[in-house]
Amino acid sequence: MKTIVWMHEDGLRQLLPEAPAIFVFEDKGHSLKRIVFLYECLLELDVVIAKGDVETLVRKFAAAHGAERIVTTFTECPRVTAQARELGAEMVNDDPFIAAAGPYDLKRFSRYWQRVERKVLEL
Amino acid sequence: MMRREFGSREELVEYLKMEFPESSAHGEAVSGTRGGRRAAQALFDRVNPDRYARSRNFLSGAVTRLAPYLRHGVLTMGEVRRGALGQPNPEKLVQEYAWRDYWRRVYGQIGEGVWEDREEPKRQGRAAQQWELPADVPAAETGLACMDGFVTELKSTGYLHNHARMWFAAYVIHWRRVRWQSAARFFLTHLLDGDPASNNLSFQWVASTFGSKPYIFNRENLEKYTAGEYCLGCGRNQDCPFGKSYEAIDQELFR
Repeated sequence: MKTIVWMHEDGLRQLLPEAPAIFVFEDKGHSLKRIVFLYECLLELDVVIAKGDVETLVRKFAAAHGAERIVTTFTECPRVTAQARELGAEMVNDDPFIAAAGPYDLKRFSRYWQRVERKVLEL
Repeated sequence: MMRREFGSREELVEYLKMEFPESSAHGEAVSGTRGGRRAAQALFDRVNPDRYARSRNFLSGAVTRLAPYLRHGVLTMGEVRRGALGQPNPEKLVQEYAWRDYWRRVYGQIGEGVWEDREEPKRQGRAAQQWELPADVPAAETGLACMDGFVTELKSTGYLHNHARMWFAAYVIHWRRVRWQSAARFFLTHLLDGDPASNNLSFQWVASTFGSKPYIFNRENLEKYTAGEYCLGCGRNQDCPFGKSYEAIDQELFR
């Protein structure tokens, strides 16, 4: 199945090197220095850079490539998650901090750390 | 489609100023920190977990400076963890990476709830009440060389050492009695690594709305970890609001 990658701010890396990728800038109230930083990250990647409405532009890009599948990097960000759902995009957690997903008790860091310490300190 | 070819960084910056005119509301500074995998890799190759563990609280310490790259997924949490484990004494550094993972997991659970108090503040005495950041703070005109220095560095470079972030947060929340949200928003705008998860939840940790007690500091602590660089020439050297024992500050702020 033909696939495209939707690259977003939480995943500025080549997720599927073979698939065409697009990044869309939205107005997020960023400072110029943040925008320059993001742009420099993008310039090192094989990605089309666009500006405007994410859903419209990603759909158009997918259609132009005849792709039925949209893949994106996993993030906890609620906005990106909602956009991915809207696009029917598949979220991939390609290299997480801890392989096992949990769930963990997140009431305090100390409880979480107790559970994960052994796991994250071994290669 | 946006442009991909530029003759120089200056040309890129000029182009982005035109494309994002609204960003000028936050100033025209551009950081010396470069985006991209190459710059990230150069820093990653220099990470020294043992020196990090021994010196990280000092402004001059061997901190990694990887935050903006981790924040934006240029580097993955998996690879930096493995990188640390391949070297001597990795525990402290891996634990600090774990804080980032922890904040992100909380973010995944509560989403936009990172903008609301997670819990009641623990010491009500003089709880933060003002919503707006007083104008002298973001203008770097408090007269306190440390705080003004932090703000100037943040606005011009998009970076602050973690200890400076904590001192600044404590100053604004506890001494200036400002609700943490406005200071958190100010940080998010300027930090290259600005992340609603670690940023807001760390502010909440300082405020004690996500932690068991408010975080405070005193001059002795700041002076030690900054090697005195701010206090020396500070105009308020003689009437420093932080120049007391922890007990005296605790009394003053929370009784």
